[in-house]
Amino acid sequence: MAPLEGLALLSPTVFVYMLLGVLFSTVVVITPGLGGLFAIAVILPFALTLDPVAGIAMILGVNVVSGTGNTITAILFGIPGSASGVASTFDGFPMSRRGEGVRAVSAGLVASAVGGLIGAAVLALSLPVLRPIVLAFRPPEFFALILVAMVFMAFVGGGDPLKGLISGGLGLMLAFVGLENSTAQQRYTFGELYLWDGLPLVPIVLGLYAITEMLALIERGGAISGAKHPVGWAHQMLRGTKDVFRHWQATLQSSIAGLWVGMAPGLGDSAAQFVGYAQVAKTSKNRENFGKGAIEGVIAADAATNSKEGGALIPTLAFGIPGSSSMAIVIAAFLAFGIQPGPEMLTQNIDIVWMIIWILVFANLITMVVCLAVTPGIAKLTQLRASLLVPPILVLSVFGAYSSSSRLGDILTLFGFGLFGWQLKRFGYSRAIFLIGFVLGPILESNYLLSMRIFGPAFLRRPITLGLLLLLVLIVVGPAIKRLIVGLRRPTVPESASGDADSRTDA
Amino acid sequence: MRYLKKGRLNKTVGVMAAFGLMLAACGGDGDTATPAEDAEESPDAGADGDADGGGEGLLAGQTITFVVGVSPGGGYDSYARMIAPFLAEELGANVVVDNQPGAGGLVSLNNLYAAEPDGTTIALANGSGTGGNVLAGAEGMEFEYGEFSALGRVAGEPKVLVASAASGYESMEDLLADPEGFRYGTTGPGGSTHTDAQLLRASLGIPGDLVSGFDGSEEIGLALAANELQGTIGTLDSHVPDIEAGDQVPIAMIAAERAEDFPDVPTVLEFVDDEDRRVIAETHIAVIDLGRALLAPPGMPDDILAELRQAIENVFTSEEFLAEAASQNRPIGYLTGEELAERIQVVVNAPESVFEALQQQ
Repeated sequence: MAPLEGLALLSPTVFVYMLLGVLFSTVVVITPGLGGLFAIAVILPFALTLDPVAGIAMILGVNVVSGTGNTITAILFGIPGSASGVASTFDGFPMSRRGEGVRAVSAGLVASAVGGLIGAAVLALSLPVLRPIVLAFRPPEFFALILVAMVFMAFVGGGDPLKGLISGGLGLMLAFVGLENSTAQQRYTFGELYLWDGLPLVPIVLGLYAITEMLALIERGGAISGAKHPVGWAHQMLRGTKDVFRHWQATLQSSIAGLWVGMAPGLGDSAAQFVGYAQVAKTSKNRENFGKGAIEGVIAADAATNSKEGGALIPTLAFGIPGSSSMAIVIAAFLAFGIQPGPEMLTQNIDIVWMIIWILVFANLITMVVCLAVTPGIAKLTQLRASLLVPPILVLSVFGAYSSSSRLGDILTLFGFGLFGWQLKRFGYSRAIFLIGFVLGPILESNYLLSMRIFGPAFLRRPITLGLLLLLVLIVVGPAIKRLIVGLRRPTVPESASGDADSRTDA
Repeated sequence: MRYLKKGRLNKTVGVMAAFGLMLAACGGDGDTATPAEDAEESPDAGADGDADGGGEGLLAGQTITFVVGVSPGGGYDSYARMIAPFLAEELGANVVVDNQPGAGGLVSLNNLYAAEPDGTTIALANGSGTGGNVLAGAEGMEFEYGEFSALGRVAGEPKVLVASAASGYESMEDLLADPEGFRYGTTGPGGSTHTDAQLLRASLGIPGDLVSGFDGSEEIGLALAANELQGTIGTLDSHVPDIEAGDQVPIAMIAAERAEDFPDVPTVLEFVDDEDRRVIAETHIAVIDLGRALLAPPGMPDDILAELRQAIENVFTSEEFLAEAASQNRPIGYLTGEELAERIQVVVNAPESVFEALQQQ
């Protein structure tokens, strides 16, 4: 039995190394600005001195939980620990301000673990058909998936649709700053090398959330948590845990979105959360409250972040191709240990494949418990008054922004977007929609360009792409058609049926 | 102010202090790892009185900034961090790896070109990528490639043209007989996958389409597996697994000689039939040959240049270093500073036909 052989490889020593990796990764990703990529780069030289099984366990331990710990600071203070924790702030931070921070963090952490487990399960189930799965999802399919997510993002928040469009459009516009690689054309770079790589995500996120919220906190006074007597943390934890299972559709839907995004080599580590979030935001009954503190929003953001690691292993095992940038480093480590990631692993090292799957399971569960344990302590800080909380958070933000690439421009970007975010917030424009446009826009563009160059316009006829696009059309015009049908069925209504439908559509 | 009660306050301050410590720990792990190691090692080097190492050389006791144009974690960064402690020992100096990412390495090279040529700033650069950029006339270069002080080449991996197994192409003859040629996957103009395909077409005088916009060689590999493209060019090492798995077929080596492990795969030079095209093929091979290059600012005084070159030579011929590189699975293909400088001159003085080839879509 291969699954049991894999479990047997996890000897107590190996398990301890995995645990060390998990704990180290958690500490790093909780720290604002430092992400999973950094954690792996730091641990790699040490892990390479271990024997292969222990080394792989350690590196994977670091990798698979790099999307979990950032939830804590993202929700409690509005500071995402890394780029993959951004979407947790959308609903988590408003909940924190209501005094429900611990509930939101608990829901996020449990959703992360459940998402990770779903990722592991799907990976295990798809072992026999890895290659066909990877080859079925090509740029046209990713184009359609991202397009769906971008259209759905318009439903986030349920506020003024015009303001939503403007926020998303601004995000899209700023995303196009930089060198367009496929044509080597500069866009809005004004001769500045700093702008060639585009505006950096981490400083923008820290600016829009950490700086903006601190500015707002100074203006308002008091503490982050507005609740005078917040509900006890034990009660909140229980409630948050229950939320994940009560909203199981959101958990499942977002986990699947995360898996899908994880499979694509070029989509980046931060896209999964937005795709998951946007999908759940559209289909949830509670959609008006998204962005204002809906628990499903927190769940959606976190489930996708961890399920994507299972997804990223699919192309790794099928072709030896990494599904994410952190997975690329993991593959390099495999090679250093003399294990060639790819299809041969399924025949020659099937025990290691199963060990990987078990690591996904254990690492996710352990991280959840560790993070839950430290949450109440950190949550107390949300009741600290502004004059005590603001200075350390500003320091952390500057450190986080600068550490992402050690360029002075990043600090300017941080404060520039802090002021920009403050204005967005004041005038009721959604920072969440802005960010979704900013992250997903370029991916949509590059997958569209690739689809056109590889297949020509015929890419629209590929079955999965066509299905998704038809679904999109249905969702957008569906409500109007439904009203039309309802109107036709009521011939007793005095006005003409079509006129009735038209007027309703206009409204 | 109930949170300023004594017990509570202590707890909160405790949590914040823990946060600060965590931060310090992480910062220390990342950026100062190499100097910390060096601090331990360099006094040893001095104490040993290492005769070859020039413990009393011009650079002894100085702090050398070792620049890489990428963020921590990638190949260039790992190479630099592997070399740094050995170089520190040879020179009796502190060698600090400094990540200067941006604009595909251009930020770091522009800075290097403007730095003082006193030996305290050196860089590990993408030599062949920079060569390709020079030939393609890329924007943003505030330096003359040929003027850098060449210290040595760390590694130069030969490249190979592969076809997807699903395409049915098995040899160069199949490709030459095809009136349409391959569709090559590339990242975009100026990228090595792009320039390699352009120069291959020009040196063989064959047609072929460039499909740009891929995120990297991984994405191109998937498109080959799906048979959406027929070919791509990359380092032999990176394609060996796909070749062995039967997913890709090696068509030709872009190298002066055949590869030891693939004696049946011809080189591109074997198919070049006229002199103009031979020049293009040779320039192409020279570009690839630049590999991962150690560079320093232009105008370096001869004694400092000689000391750096000698120290690097000592590192790359020491068994301890080669064993370390082998254990990290990082191939080494050392060339001396003089040899690297010659190859850079071949590339920057390439004939007009090479520049023209890189302007064609």
